[in-house]
Amino acid sequence: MTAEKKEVLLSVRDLQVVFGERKNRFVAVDGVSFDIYRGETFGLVGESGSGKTTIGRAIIRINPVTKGEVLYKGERISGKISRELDKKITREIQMIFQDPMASLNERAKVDYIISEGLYNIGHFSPEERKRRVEQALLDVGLLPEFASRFPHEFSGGQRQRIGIARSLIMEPEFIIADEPISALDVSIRAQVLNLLAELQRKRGLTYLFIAHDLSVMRFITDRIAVIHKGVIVELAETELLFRHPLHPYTQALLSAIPQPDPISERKKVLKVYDPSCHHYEEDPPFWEEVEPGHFVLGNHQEMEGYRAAVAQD
Amino acid sequence: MAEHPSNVILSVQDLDVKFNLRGRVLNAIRGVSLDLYEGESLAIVGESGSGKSVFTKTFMGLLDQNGVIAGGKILYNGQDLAKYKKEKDWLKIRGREIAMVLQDPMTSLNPLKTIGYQIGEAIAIRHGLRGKALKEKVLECLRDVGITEPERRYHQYPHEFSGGMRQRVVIAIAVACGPRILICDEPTTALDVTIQAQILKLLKELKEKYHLTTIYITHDLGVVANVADRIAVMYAGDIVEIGTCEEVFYDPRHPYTWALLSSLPQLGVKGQELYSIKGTPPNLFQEIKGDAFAPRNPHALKVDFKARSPYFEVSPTHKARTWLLDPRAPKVEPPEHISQLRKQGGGLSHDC
Repeated sequence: MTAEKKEVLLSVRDLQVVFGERKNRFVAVDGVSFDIYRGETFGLVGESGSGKTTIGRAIIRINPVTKGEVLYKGERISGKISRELDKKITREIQMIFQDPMASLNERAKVDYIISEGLYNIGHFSPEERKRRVEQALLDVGLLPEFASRFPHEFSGGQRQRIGIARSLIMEPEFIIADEPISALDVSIRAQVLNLLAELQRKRGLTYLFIAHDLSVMRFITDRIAVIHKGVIVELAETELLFRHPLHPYTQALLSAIPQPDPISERKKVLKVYDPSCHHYEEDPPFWEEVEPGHFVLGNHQEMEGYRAAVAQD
Repeated sequence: MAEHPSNVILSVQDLDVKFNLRGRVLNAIRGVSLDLYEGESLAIVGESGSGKSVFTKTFMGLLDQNGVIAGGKILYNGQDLAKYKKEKDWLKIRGREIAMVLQDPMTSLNPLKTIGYQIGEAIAIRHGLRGKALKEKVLECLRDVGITEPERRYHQYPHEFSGGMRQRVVIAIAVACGPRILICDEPTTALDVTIQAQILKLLKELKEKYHLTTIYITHDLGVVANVADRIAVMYAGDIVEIGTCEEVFYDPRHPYTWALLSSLPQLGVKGQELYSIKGTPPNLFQEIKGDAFAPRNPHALKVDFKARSPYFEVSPTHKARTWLLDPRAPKVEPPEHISQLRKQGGGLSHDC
């Protein structure tokens, strides 16, 4: 992808999400901004409680936005919007959930689970609906016969495929995948990741991929944003981030990836991120591009170090 | 460790475990033998359904009601645990001799009792302590597993702890009774990567401090490179390959081990398809003929479908159950990822 051809599909501007009131007020996401280009896979990494899922849910309008806005194809989709727009984005933005054991209705047949969304967007004849369900099942590598079964008859990997089929049937353009492989076995993970990559190639989908594990991200994403306590601390193209991880939190995340290599694993020094290593009282941090396509949060003193680290290579 | 094969702490011989499910018989463990050496840390790796959890549950008498040990022996301290029937017998083993850390810290703690009570419960039974002495011991346990402010934490409930902290509490309970063997069943699967690394470090430290023998059960080979001395790879209720950590990572011999290693996303190259194992694990309700992995194995030989392979020894510590190691077998090159790993190991490979 060249720079000129990039078209912004989704844009998050200064997003803030607050839960609770007064004493229980908790700022889950604070001042987050990023753009997602059409056709790319944008990764959001952070530990549990960092607010990465909240951002995903705010985009799809499950969590209300307290400040800032979300633009989809240039239109604001956060806050109050018209009915038509609401209908449109419900169709075009879909979500895949983390735990395939919990995200499927145990009492409904696969047929209904997958086509539930279709009931809301228009009148489909039973034949048309059936045809679409079969197509969606085939697309994710399952057999059309499975439509008449219940979720408990499937393994974890197959259930996750059903979850993916459910989002595909709406013919979305943008999919939010919230830790789609965390609950799966390693061998099944590979299958699901390959499926997601293949669907992207075939349909030109755009993904927002949320995960806590950077090793998976390297394989699937084009750009990654690292989020800590509701604030994005580093954003870069995937390879740049792995080559020059600048922010100490990114470095801690990278050092925690287990490597399938006993010799280097035993030598490894685990980095632990301690937020008190920053001196932000007198010199507040700012957001800057240290090399093309690589942004990081830091104050003047840190920024010097970051620039030096990048220049060294 | 593997260098002192004399100190076998637990020896499993030809173990068979069967489950009765609605009138049908499922062969969960099919003739597994394993020696566990004192002070080592062994990792058992396999997909879900490979029988790795069931295998270790037999050591503690925790099989479900419909499961039976149909054959074989589990020798511990000169006694055959496979013959134990009564709960009374098991209570001497459980917790005191062999303890377990379960996968999900959200479900393995009682949400209605304080953390202090839950740790104290085990200690009171084991050491017969009461009152102040008991509390002192509990606080010591909490400090041991790296929980700060133990005095305050003592009176808190599980919901006030984060996932990683909760797993530390579970570990504290397991270690509190001074067991000799600690079984960790997917101890980090439910946790974040950063927390995972910390928990593994903690388990390693505790192992040194209390001279524990540890068994890790996991589906993720990447996790165990750091913690395991030896690795056993399980598939369809059988150990298909066992060797030291270096041997299994740098010189794997069984096609299933190749497949497991190749599918790690850490080894993936962007833009290329990630390696994935085709097909599904075999149905254990039916008797398995030959090598259980053969139908999914691109390198399968004809003999793999007919006869079960014996163990072939690669080195004194490394053996694998595959016909590929038979002298008569054609030479099969392992997949690309494996050769790459072998290079990282640098000259560890023996004769290929």
